[in-house]
Amino acid sequence: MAKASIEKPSTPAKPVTLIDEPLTFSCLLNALLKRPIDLIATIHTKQTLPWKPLLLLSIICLGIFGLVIGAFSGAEQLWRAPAKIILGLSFGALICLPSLYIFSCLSGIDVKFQTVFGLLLCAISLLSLLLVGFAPVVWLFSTSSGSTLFFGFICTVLWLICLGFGFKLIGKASQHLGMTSSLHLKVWMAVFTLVTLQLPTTLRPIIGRSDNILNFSEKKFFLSHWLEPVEADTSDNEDARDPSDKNQ
Amino acid sequence: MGIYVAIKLPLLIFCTLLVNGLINGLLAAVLDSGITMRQSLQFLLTGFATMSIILGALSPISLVLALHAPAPDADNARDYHAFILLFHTAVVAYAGILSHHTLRRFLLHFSKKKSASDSTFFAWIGGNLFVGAQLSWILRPFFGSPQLEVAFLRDDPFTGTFYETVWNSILYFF
Repeated sequence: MAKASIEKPSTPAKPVTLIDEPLTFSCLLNALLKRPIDLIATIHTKQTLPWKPLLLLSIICLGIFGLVIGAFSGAEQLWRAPAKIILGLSFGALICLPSLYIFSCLSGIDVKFQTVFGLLLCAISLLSLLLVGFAPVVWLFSTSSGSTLFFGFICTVLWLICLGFGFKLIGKASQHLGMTSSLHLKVWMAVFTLVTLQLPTTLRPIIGRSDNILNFSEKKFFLSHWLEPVEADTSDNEDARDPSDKNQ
Repeated sequence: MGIYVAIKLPLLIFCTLLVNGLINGLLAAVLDSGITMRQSLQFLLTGFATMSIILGALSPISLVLALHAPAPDADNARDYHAFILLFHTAVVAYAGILSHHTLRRFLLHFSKKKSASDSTFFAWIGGNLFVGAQLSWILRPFFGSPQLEVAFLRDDPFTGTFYETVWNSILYFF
C-alpha cells in the first residue's frame, strides 16, 4: 500500500474566536500578543486587513529599536540606523512576500493573497513589538560595550529570537488555515532568515560609523563580513601572547 | 563598603526589573501564559523579596564573619577573603534557588497551562540572568578585595561588559 505523502493537519489547541470589536491600534496590540490566531482568523474570514495600524506599529517599533542600536555609535547613526532597519526589513518582506504566497499554496493553504499579506504583516508587527521590549537590554549593552563585534552578536541573537516568535505565529496560523505540509513553509522561513541576516551587511554600516551612508561598492556575504573581525581579533590575541614570533 | 553594597544591591534588583520589565511582560503574553504585565512585575518583585528575606535572615552570620576578618595586610587575608567570597556565593545561590521556586509556584498557579508556565519561567530566568550579570558588572565591586581600595564603583564602570571579559579570559586561557 502506498505511503500517504500528505501530513495530517494538526488540530488547533483551542477554539478560534473572531474579533468583533473594531481593529484599532490598541485592539491590534492586544490581539498580536494574546490572540494572534484569532486576529489572523478575523482577517481571513472577514476579508478585512488593518494594514495601516499594523504598518504604523511596525514602523514605530522598528524605529525605536533602530534608535537604540544607533546610540551605540551616536551622531548620524541615530537616524541612519532606524531608517536602514525600517527600509531594509520592508524591502526584505516585500521580496519574500510572493514566495510566501506560493509556498503557502504548496503547503495546502487555500487563501487569498490578502490573507497571506496580512499574515506576514502580523508576524513582522509581533517581532517589532518584541524588539521594542528588548530595547532597554540593547541600550544597556550599547552604553557598556565598545566592541562592534560583540554588540552586533547581541543584536543578531535578539533579532533571531524575535524572528522565531514571528515564525511561530506564521506556523500556528498556517495550521489553522488548513496547512497539510509544513515543509514548504519551513523552507520559506529559512530563506527569510537568510534575507534578514544579509540585509544588514548589504546596508552597512548599521552599528559602526562611516562617511558614506551605504557601501554598495564592496559586496560581501554576511558570514564573511562577521568572520573578518573575529579572525582579526584572534590573530591580535595570538600576537599579544607571543610577539617574538613576528621577528622570526 | 557595607553602606555602598546596601545601596547597590537593591539598585541592582530594581535596575534588572526596570530593564527587563517590558520584555518579561511581553514574553508572558506571547508565550500564552495568560499573565498580565502587572502580574509579571508583581511575581518577579515577590521573587526578589523572598530572596531579600532569606539574605536578610542570614546577614547576622555574614556580619560575624566580617567582624572576624583579619586585617588586609595580614598573612591569611587572602585565604579568609576567598572563604567569605565562597560563603556569600553559596548563600546568594541558595536564596536565589528558593526565590525561583516561589516564582515558579506563582506561574504554575496563575498560568493557563503548565507548558506555558515552564516556557515563561525559563524565558524570565534567562533574561534576568543575562541582564543581571551585566548590571552586576557595571555596579561592581560588591565584595571588594584586600589588595584594592574600597570604592563605590570601579573606574569607568561602563567600559566593557561581563561577557566580553569572560570571553577574553577564555581566549587567553586557551
